[in-house]
Amino acid sequence: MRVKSLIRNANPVPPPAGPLSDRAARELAALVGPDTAPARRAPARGPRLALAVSAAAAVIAAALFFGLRGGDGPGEGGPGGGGVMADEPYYGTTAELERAADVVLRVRLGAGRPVDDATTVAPARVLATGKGRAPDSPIEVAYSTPGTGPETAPLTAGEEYVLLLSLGEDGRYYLVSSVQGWYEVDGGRTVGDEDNAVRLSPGVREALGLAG
Amino acid sequence: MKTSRTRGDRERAARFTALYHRDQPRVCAYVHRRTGDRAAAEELTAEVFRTAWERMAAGQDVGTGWLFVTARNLLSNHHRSLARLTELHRAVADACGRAPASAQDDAVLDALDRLPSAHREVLQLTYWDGLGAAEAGELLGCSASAVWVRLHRARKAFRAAYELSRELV
Repeated sequence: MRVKSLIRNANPVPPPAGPLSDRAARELAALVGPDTAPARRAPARGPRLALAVSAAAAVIAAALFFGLRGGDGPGEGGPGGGGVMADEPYYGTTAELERAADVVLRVRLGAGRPVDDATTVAPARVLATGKGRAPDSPIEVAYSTPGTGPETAPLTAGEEYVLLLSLGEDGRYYLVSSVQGWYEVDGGRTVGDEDNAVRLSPGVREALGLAG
Repeated sequence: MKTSRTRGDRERAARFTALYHRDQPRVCAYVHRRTGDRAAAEELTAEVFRTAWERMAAGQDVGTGWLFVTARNLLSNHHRSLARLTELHRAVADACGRAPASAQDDAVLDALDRLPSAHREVLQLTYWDGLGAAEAGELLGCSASAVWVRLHRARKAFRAAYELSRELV
């Protein structure tokens, strides 16, 4: 079941697209003055231009925002204000990724069991702690069942992983991301998903007893 | 002595203008979804941005999360939310001359209405209002990662409620 598309389709007020309403444009002009308030939306520009405009170039800045976001409604991006309609956050840096996790653990994953049509819960024996307070082992890890969506973590029972986890109120631990919330441990090194370009910090890897 | 606008004034105006273009339509839609009344939404949104402008003029930061939190607070002060999403959808569709909700949408709205408010809110903020996890976290008073955990649970609860609603609607 595609929860996101079901709910989005039932949205009584679709995401706004296009320029400001006349009323909104007038109110903006009344606040900042007519010399800085663009009356209408300017044509969309490419992102390279945005790097060149100064902060004072309000018209172009506004056009940039619409060029990047307006046409398609809420767009894609990371968790820091982006990721607007994404199912999962994407963390651009090691610091962001590790900050998103309550704990970073090296674990041996046990056999999972489905708890609903899209979620698997598996026990995990904790081998080392790279961030956060070491929990009582084993823990229960909840993750999207592999194959139930476009982004699911391919976790396998019996394998060793580094997991980046948030502690839920139900006492279970949840991957911070199906793509970036796990690294397979192979020969003492971490191997992430091919779509995950972010590596763990040296400090965390060292705490986990991993070379790379 | 009257001076021309300072560089600081112009930069502040430019920042506000960019913020306004990016978020005014989003905030207005957010309010519209909760009042079912376009005119009331525009009025309340104008109040949000008047306050934002004053805040920026006083040298304080204003971000997207602050705008939505302020809109939420004004909503709670001045408007009583419609009892059910199905009624709200009907009111908006009538006002816009749109077709009524489909049977599937009715089941979705009914399922959302059945959910505990905490589940319903995180689903609405994410999938209707288009808020990122950090923005939603400001409204919900929790961290971005906690939003994802709450969303995960809310989606699970929605699935169960939707199955029930499909049988009933």
